[in-house]
Amino acid sequence: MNKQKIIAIIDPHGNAIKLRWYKGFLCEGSQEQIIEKIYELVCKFSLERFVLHMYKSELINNKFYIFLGIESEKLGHIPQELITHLIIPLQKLHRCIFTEICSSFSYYDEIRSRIGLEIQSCEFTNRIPYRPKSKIIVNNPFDITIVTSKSKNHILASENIKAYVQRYEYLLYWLSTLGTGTWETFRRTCNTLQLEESNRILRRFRLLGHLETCANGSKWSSAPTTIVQIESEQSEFILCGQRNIKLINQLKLLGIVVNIADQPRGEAPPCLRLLVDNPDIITNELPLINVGKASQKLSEILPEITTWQQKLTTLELVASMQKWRKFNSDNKFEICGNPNETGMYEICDENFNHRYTLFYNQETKTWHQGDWYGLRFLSLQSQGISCQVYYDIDSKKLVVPTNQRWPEIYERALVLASGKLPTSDKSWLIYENINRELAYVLSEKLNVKLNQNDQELLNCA
Amino acid sequence: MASYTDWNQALISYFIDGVPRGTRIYLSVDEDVIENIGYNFTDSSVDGKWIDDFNSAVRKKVIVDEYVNLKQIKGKNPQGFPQGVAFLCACVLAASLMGEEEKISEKDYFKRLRETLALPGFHRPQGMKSGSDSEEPLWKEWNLWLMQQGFLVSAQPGSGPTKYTNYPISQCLLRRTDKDKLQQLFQEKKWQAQWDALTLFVYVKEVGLFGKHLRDLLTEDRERYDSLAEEIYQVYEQWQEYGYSKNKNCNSYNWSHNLSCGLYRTESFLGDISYSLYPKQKRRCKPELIEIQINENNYQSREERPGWYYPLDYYVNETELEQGCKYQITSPNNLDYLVLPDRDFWILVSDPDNYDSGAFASWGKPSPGNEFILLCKNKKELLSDIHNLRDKHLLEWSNQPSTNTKWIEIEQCMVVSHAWDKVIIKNQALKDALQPSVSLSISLSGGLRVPKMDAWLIGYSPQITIFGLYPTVKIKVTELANGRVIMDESHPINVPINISLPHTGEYIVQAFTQDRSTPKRLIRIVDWNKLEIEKSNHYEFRNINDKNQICGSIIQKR
Repeated sequence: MNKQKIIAIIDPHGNAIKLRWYKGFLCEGSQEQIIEKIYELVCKFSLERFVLHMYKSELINNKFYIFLGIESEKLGHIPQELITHLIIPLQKLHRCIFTEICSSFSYYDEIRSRIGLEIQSCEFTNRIPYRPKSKIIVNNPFDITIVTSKSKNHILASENIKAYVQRYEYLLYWLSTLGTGTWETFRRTCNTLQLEESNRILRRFRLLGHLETCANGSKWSSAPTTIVQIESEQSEFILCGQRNIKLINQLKLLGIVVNIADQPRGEAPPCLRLLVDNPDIITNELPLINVGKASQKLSEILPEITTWQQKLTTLELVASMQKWRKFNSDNKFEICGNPNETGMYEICDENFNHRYTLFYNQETKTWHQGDWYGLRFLSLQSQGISCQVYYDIDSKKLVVPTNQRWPEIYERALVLASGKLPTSDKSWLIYENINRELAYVLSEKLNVKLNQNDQELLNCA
Repeated sequence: MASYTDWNQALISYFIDGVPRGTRIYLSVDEDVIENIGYNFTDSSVDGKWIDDFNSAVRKKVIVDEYVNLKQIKGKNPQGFPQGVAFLCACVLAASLMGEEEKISEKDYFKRLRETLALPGFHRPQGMKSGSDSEEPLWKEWNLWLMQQGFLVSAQPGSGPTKYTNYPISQCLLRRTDKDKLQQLFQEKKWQAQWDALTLFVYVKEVGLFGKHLRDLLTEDRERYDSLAEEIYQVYEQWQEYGYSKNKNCNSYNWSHNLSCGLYRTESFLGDISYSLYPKQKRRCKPELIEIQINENNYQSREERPGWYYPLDYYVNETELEQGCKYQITSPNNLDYLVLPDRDFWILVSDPDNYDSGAFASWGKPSPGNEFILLCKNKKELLSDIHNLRDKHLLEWSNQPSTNTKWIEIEQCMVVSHAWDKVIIKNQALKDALQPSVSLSISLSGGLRVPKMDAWLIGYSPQITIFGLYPTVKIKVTELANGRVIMDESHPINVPINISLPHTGEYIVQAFTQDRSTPKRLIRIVDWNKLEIEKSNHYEFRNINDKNQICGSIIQKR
């Protein structure tokens, strides 16, 4: 407890100009009401100039003490304003007694020893506790920490997968209403909806064509609503981009919704498949854009992987100012000195905890920011590791090793072919409704070896 | 001649358009305002004076055989706007016409109102015998409508005999005589600086030689400071454009040619901090699209939210911050410059529409207990003032700002006390900018807020925090539709409270101590099926190659 001995306020020459001392009052009645009244009067008449704080004693038999910490020119002299605006009104307070104690007190200890009760300090000048929120750490939205089995299992073990699906639907509705926002908004909204790993959610939403981010990931916009044609015997489309309940109800009323399927593990809004014989009729009636076979179009215009690497956002930084860990061939990060080889690196804090992930190109001596899996893919290729992919023409499934996952924009071409995220197990990612040409074109551009109809492996996957 | 309905709509637009949500709205009408609105009508006035046209329209609507009939202007029109605003403005006009030293009494006020309505006599007109049945319901409708739009209300009853007359009187800010005095002051001082409204306000307050009404406005009731500063600034702009003249011509009612701007702060994931120009809409003049030329580059911006355009993709440099700057507006033609004012400091608060966005900008004053960033010049005197405020336990912050730059950022700043009145620091503008204007305030945070609807989604309602000096406050939450009390209990102050708002609808929150209360705040809760799809003017596109870009599933040429 405070044992301060505040006696005098001195001027620059050392002369005492004001004294601080305590005046005691014996009170009877509602402690809450009296204390409340003191605060009100101090605030109303700006009396904090004269009374800086007070002590209140514990309550015994409905009686307690108040000690006002007064600042005045003379010890024992109560400023007139305090008498008029505080003490007299308190003495007139209905059903309360507020009696002045004759003595004045100079110190906290003096008060304690005199009354022999516990006392508690109440300040008038600093009532709002300073509790700053933890500073927003602007993390890299493209960064994805390697999956922990705990978080993954948490979702897989959940018996209430529908609850997750609904939250993802809510997230998409809300993003559709907002239109645009910052990465921080996205992150916080995921937290509010109790959806974990917002970086991964952002990536999944991009894969599904629901939203887009700017090059450095700091801003997002929900994508306009589209219908995307998929490979099918009938004229089938999937719904991408902005959506709300009203739009979904309108589509249902038109009788064109053939399937609403949960995404694998319920990790994104459901996939809406539409049977649309004449897309023009739908796009004239509803605010939708028919973008045709987006998957195929995207695969055709995507660059070779080396060109993609060159176009990644470049960052300026001084390597010697940072702590580093390098991604090695064992799929792990290990502490290293200043980067001097091409590859994926983590900038770390003092304790070598992850801060963000970058790709270093030794040839051009440039640093690049990008989708985490994309940077890892580049790293694998720079290490000379042969990347593989397996394709089964009968089931139209493409299987990618989990540890060789493709850069997001290339993977988007696969996801838009079905509107479904890949199913996965420990080692494989399986994409549906992939035609042979798509598999071939993307494999070529990514410099990946395409293994066709490897039945043994496909069965295993 | 414009009809009552035309005037009603034009007056609502005049006070609301281009005004950020959360602003306290005053129906501060005087003859200048009426002439200004009339000047923008396509029709012409009957005899060249819009004030006569306005009075005539109000009379035609509400006077029947010297009897005031307010029944037909109660409620909202089919477009959802309150119909009584033009009549309320006529009441405020009557209050504004009261002389400089005229004692405010019911008799004086009704004498002026009768003059406006061309009714002989002194006391309450026929048809308005009971304030609680006649004009008060219109004020209440207006206040409720403002709350529903996300504004703060200012019209309030008085006590005793001034109960109903206080509504219009509480709305009067600058009267004609005050404006003349201010123009005289500007003329004498020959001020030409590109200040913003609050800086000008400080200089005007320092002069202090005014009549009673203006002096009281400048020194009492801090709640109206921001609105008053805006009005004084308009007079300043008018004087800058046309000089001092008691006899105004029609053109002088459209004096705004510049837009002012604030700062919008962003931080990259590598910690690089940038400040973009953040154009502020001008009240009553808000073109959909503005184009600005800076260093031979063109920048476009559209409305981002009421009161603001999107931040420009242009980052200000230290010299521009240091000296202020003017940027040429190339479109629309009736605007000249975007003005970055010359300031010693900037206060950047978190987004009032989305506290969690991580964005900080010039969205307004910091409320006690809420964090903000103080960006200030690295000047010894100013820093000494800031430290002085901390020593007096008025301001707190956590970081140790770096001192080797011309501008310093003090992060996680918080106003932690209301006891500012007797504090003296050298930089009065800093004190004015930080000093809380209310002793009790309601802060709503968290939940899932839909900015365009000014509503929260069901199941994700906000937390309520009451900031103030008192140890506890009573918080009352009432369901607007049926008056059902959801909460009525004491809570410790400055601590966020979770409250369950069980249904969709509107709820009124108010906090009380024994002798004070906060203004009412409205919380609207909506269902998920009310969400509309935002047709954005700006979509993010990512480049795929030199020719194509993508947004979601849309591929288009770059």
